[in-house]
Amino acid sequence: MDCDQLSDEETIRAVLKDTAYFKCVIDRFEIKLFRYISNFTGLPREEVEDILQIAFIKAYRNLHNFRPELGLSNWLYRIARNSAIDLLRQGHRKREESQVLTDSQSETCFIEHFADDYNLEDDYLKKELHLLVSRAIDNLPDVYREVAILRFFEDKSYTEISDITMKPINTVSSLVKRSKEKILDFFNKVNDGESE
Amino acid sequence: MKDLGDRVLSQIDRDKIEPIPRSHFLLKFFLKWLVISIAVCLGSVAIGIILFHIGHLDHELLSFYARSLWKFFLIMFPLFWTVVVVLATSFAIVKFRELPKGHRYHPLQLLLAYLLLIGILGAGLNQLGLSDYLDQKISGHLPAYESWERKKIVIWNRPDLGLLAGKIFSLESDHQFILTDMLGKNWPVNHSQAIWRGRLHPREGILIKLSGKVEGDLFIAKEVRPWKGRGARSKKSRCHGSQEQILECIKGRH
Repeated sequence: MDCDQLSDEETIRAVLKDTAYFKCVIDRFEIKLFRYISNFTGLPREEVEDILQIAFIKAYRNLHNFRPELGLSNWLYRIARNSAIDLLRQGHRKREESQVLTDSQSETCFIEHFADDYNLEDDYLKKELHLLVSRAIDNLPDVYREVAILRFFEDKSYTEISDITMKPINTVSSLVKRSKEKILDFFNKVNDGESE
Repeated sequence: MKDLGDRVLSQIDRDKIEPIPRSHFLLKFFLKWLVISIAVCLGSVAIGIILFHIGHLDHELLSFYARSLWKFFLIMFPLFWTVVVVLATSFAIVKFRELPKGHRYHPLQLLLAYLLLIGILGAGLNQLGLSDYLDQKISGHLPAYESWERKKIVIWNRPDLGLLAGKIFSLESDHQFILTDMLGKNWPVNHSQAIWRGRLHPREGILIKLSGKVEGDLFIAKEVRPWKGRGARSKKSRCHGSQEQILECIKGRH
């Protein structure tokens, strides 16, 4: 079973013939989805894993509803997000101290998104980048936090964010714009504090 | 995390989970489009009939209802069709947003697109004269439905406000005739100072509408017009057949 050779569509077709191929789907997306759901919900690791298990089972049941034009990644992000919202509605609480989960890929992505507006390559900021980004995202209201994570960490386009969150594209666009403004405000405040 | 794939696969195996059949999703997809199509058809008919009602509003009546304008609008307002438009719009937008890419559009964009579509289709129906036809058909099938004709009778059957409509029963003299109103009551009408519109002249059996005033049992007419629509704008009779049949048709619905 060589998963790397298969495109998303081919993988889904293979799963429909042999369930074992579903492991290819899970292996391909579990790390990204874990990071996204962890940042989106702020739930502890075990609960995020439970959400992912529920989400993958849902995805398997709904395989025939997969539409290639929306992309497998976005489809799975949407299912995982909806599963997370269901769990949050059941009263599951966020971590006491929420910390945004990043890796080098998502941090690079974040820096690229802010490169024109802010020098995040500055030595001090580089050292403290993880903490700074974490605080900036934590400071955002939930409505901005969700799109900020998808845009600045997961590098999703407006259309993809719209497909994942089921929000209209123009709403996503304004939410991303405002969340960026809020993050820049936060950086400026931090910078001003440091210079004083 | 390492065993997530194994956990998921073993749960699928243990619980004998199967993918939901494609037909289930196809049926849901088809039903959504069906609801959207019905909503567009209903919305178009509703807009067509609303346009027909607005187009045939007797603006001159406003002066007679000056003291109770709210009553006039309450009678003439196409409430039924407005409710239909609101409901059809809601269903269309909700179902469109449930389509695979429907969520990408803002509800306001969908609202404008939907209203534009039913506006064009409704105007087309009205131009083709189908709004009038549908108004009548629905009136025949829904006893509680207030068709334009019925509203017109209510509006014109107000001698206290100086409005009267019915059929000329008999010509009494050069200046007076007996009119049978829409409720079957006979009125002596003096028309010595009346203006006859629409190339009308006093003749037994014709359906007319009058404005004027009541003096005792006598109605003094100031203006006499044909019952059908608004003169030149009325293209078709809404009740077909002979004058008697037309009167019966109108009375029957009242």
